Amino acid sequence: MIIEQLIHECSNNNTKAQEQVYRLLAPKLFSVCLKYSRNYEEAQDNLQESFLIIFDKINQYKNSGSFEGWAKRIVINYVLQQYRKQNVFEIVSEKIPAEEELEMDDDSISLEFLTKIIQELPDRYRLVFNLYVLDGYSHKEISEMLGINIGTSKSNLARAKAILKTKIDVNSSFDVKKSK
Amino acid sequence: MKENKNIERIFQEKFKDFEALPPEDSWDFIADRLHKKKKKRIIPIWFQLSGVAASILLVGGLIWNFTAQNKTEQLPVFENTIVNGKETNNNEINSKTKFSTDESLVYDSKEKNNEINSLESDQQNNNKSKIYKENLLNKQNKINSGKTNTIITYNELEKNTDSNYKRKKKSNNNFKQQRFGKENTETVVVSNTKKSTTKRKSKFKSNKSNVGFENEISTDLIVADKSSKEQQIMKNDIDAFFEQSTTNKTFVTNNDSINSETNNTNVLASNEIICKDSTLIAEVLKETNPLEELLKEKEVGKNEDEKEEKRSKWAISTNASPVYFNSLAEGSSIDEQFNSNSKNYTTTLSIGLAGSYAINDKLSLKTGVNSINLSYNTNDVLFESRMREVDNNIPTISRNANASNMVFSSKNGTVNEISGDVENVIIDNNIGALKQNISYIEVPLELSYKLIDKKFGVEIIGGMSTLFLNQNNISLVTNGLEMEVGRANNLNNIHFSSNVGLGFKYSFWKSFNANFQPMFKYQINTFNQNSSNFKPYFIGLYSGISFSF
Repeated sequence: MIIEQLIHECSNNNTKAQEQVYRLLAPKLFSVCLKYSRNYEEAQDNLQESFLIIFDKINQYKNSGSFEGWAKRIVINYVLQQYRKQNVFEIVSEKIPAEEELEMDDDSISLEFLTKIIQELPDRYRLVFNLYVLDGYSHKEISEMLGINIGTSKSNLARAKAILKTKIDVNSSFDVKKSK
Repeated sequence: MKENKNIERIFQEKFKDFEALPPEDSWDFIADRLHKKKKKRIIPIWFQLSGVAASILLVGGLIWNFTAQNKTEQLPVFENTIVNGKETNNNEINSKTKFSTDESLVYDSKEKNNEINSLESDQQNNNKSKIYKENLLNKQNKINSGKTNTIITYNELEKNTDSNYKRKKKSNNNFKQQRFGKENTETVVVSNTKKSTTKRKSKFKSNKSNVGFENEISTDLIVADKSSKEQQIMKNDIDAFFEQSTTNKTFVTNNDSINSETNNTNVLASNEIICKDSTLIAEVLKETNPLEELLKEKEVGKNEDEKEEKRSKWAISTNASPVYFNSLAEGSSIDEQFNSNSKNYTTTLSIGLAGSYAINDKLSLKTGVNSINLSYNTNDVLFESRMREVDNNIPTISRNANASNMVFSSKNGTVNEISGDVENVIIDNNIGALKQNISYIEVPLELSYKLIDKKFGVEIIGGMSTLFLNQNNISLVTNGLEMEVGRANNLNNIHFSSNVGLGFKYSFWKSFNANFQPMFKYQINTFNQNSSNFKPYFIGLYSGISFSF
């Protein structure tokens, strides 16, 4: 009830309501931005631009599905627009590396570190990894969203995972050394 | 603890409930931009259509304002008829005195906004913020606090305009009494139902949260106070709500002095009543919002116009246009004898490139290169081909070698010269048209002034063109055949045209505009000799795409 009222007020450009919506959604959406962007600053920019779009289009929200989900899709769409332009120099290797299990100490890896290594991925890898692993999109959907073919999406994901794994390995061996 | 894990699982688990607070200044940035956007949407139309529109807005605003006043005044009157209270004089007096003494003090301090913190204990502040959070998060509390929110706002309104209230107090006395009556009777009803006293605590909290919200709202109000009209509107709200705040006060004092359960239920009940009423007034408030925004924006409008992001100064455009060639007066550029002949002007095509430079927001200078082709037929021309070379009877045509034995004359004119010649017989069929074909390279220099500059724009254009003669020939057209007979020798190599027109643009993507410019170009000094009153002009419908950078 309350959220619907807020949305209605927002479409009337009520600043107070807009701020409340912002306060409600910002933590969730900023986490999305952090995952999809290259760094903290860009994440902030993307969040701000996304909110402008959300408030601009809020009257198009039809109360079908959760408002949060709707807003999140706007954020993801906006971020994709930002980063899918950059063409990664593509080395499409035919063979996709086999899934490897990673031996790791669960607690030794901080969320900050994981966020950082995601952000360091090349744009396309980062988008594909986020979409597939963290937001549950299928390769088919990703290929449509990014305008690539399914094979590219799969190989991008594999490459992304390989890079991430290497970084986690290096980090944990560094930790081991430190502890010794 | 070490375990083997798929890398996807690691990330999924870690990021499952990942939330991050964005930097504090993010909201300020968004609010800024939102405000700007609103301004952009509403204001420029009016400002660009200058003071006339502004004055219409002003008058409209006043009318609106007055009707809004009437509305709010009608609301309480309507309720008056329902309620008849008698036993509340004491209450009223108490609350009034409390209100005008204590509350005016509080009001002063609130306007300074910071002092409130020194007046309120830290603990209270903490409570307030907690309550604020609860508003957002706790569903159970949402209902309660949501209601109190509205109450608070109106409490605040009243306090801020304390003086207004005093002025109107007397005239409203009767009305207030009646209102109190209503509320009291209702509290009796509710106390009969004996609501549980466990809610007492939350009531207390809500009182505190009043203070918390007052802080926020008072700052808003200080801003809003700037516009006198808004204040007027508030007065109405205040009048309508005064009695509610006083009941609030009464229950607060009652709480303090008596602390009885029945009083608590009183509080509950009156709170609920107020909530009901406040929804009414909330609607009235909403109505005033757009006006309030307009007025605010009007104040800051001019400043923000200057701040508007820099326009791109340069633009290049391509254009293509059908050219409708014609003459203002009946005449012929070829020879006087063709003056009265009918003429067919051919619609031709002009294509070109242009570059423009924006001198300021309104004015821009445009130049470019167009190729333009003008062509028209002079009909009903008698022509003859003789066996030998004949004198040129039309001096403005320099005949080709292969046309040196041809004679042209108007069908309408006298043909004495020809009929006297025995060798030649006039054949009726020898009637054709002389087609004059001229092409120019046009270099326009035009100034345009923007009337509307939004996604869709309108401008007026004026200027001149220099036209360099490029191609020039005259041919004879008959029965679908065309034969070049020569060229006109009375055309200046360089001549000018004066141009006026309108420009329409539609910005369809980023800095790309689609343009449409109907232009009228009157040609000056086209001919170096007597052109037999031939006053050519052409109309072009230039359409194209421009890119600004």
